Amino acid sequence: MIFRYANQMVASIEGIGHTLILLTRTLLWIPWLWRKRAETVAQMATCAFGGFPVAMIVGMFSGMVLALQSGYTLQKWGQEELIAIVVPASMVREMGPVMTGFILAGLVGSTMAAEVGTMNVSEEIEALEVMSINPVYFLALPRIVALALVAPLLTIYVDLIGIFGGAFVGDRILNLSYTTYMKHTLDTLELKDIYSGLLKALVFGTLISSVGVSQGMRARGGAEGVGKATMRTVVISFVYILIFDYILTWMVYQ
Amino acid sequence: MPEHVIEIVDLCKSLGGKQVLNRLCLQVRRGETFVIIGRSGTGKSVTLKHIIGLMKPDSGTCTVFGTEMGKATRAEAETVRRRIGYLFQSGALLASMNVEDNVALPLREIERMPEDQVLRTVREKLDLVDLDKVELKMPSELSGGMRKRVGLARAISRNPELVLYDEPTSGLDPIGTAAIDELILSMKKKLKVTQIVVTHDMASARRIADRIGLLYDGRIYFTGTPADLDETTDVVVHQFVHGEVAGPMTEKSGETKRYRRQRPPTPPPAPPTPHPAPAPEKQDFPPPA
Repeated sequence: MIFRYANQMVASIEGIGHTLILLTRTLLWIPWLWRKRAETVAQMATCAFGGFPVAMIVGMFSGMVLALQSGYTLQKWGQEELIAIVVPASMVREMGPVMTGFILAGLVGSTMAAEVGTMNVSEEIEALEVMSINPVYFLALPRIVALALVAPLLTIYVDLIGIFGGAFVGDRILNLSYTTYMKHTLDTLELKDIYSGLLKALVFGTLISSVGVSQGMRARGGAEGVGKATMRTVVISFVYILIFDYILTWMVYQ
Repeated sequence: MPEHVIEIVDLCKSLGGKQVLNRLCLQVRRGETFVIIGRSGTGKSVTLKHIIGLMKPDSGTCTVFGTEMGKATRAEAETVRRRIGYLFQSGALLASMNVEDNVALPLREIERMPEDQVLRTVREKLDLVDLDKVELKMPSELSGGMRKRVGLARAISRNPELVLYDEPTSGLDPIGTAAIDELILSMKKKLKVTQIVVTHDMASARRIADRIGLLYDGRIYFTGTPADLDETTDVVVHQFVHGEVAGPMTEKSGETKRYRRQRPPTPPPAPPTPHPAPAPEKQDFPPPA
């Protein structure tokens, strides 16, 4: 029992180490990104178009639920107007980047792990090395850069949809007009709220893609190994998102 | 004395606690086709991976074109790899790219060739492996034999001096196998390359080899020409070449005992049935008077 936990612990540390090394090596390849611009743009399109429909639903309902929950509570003191402060601030600082991170981990991170993992078990990555093509440059660079750039864009989209969802609930249920809601929103939001949210999204995007590619590169044992790598990518990404969300919030707002 | 392209001395490698290669020694001369035969799991592919530098030895040396691959830096290993072509067992074509892009990959990514030259080279290499009008096909649309041909076209796209083949005929029908054998022979004839072929197909090995090495017990147990292989009286070689179940190879790994245990017990001989008394000869005709 103890040995099993010890082995799992060692494997986790090994995984973190592999992801960090992969990320560092990818950053060293950044000067050669222009050679991979076509693949990077293609990856960005895949990430964005894959994420937009789900992001719309998640963003909309996150904003609506936030407005509804805080609205009912604030209504007791006749302060329902405050949802125009609570919803946008929550969306831009927290819900937007975190929800986007979760969506991207489930949709894109898992896809990357499956794709790279399949390449690994079918000897395609070895074939790249044999041809002297560095797999970090060829596979990791375009994927990690693409998701790091798409995550903030998708976060802005989720933020806007969420804020609109809050306004919709305010107008239909809490008798708060769109104009009042938007006025409060614009008065309340600070530049710091926006950039901290986007910074979180950038970090989450980088982490999710690094974990996905790293897990794919370490996949062993055929289809079963690829499946496990995919599952691990989602779980590890979720944990990283929550840990780094706390760290970044503390760093920005302390 | 012929120049050696590859010199492996006392190469040892353990994988998962199992000693796969045990003081393996091998020399391959420039221009020859050397075939490594041996049972599955005896380290044939592991030997190739040491030659290409994908694996590092636990001890011993593997020198390719004068560079010791175990101690080479990444840049040095890549310089050596540019002189080597490698055909994987499955072809290892990138599934997301069509045939043309697969063959062109090293030319575009490493050689940075102009696009018109890339396309000309791709056409030329596909011609060499007898493939026509497949440039735009995806690997999933190709048969196993065609995938191996495309893999070979990619392996020779940079005009290597040494080509390594990992089980090039596995999974192919006899006609496909013969066609790949012909290709390997033609590579030697047309491109004058040194070739190392890993296989357990004896018919194929006899057709293509200048020399054959039998990998057994983690080392090259026997080396010789195909004729030497047929003439030797060594029991290990004899067992492998003739595909016999019982023999030193299987006894050592314990397989023969298992094989014997799994065989249904021989039924006891049936008791002899008494022959019926011979019937008196029937005489259709009355004896002559």
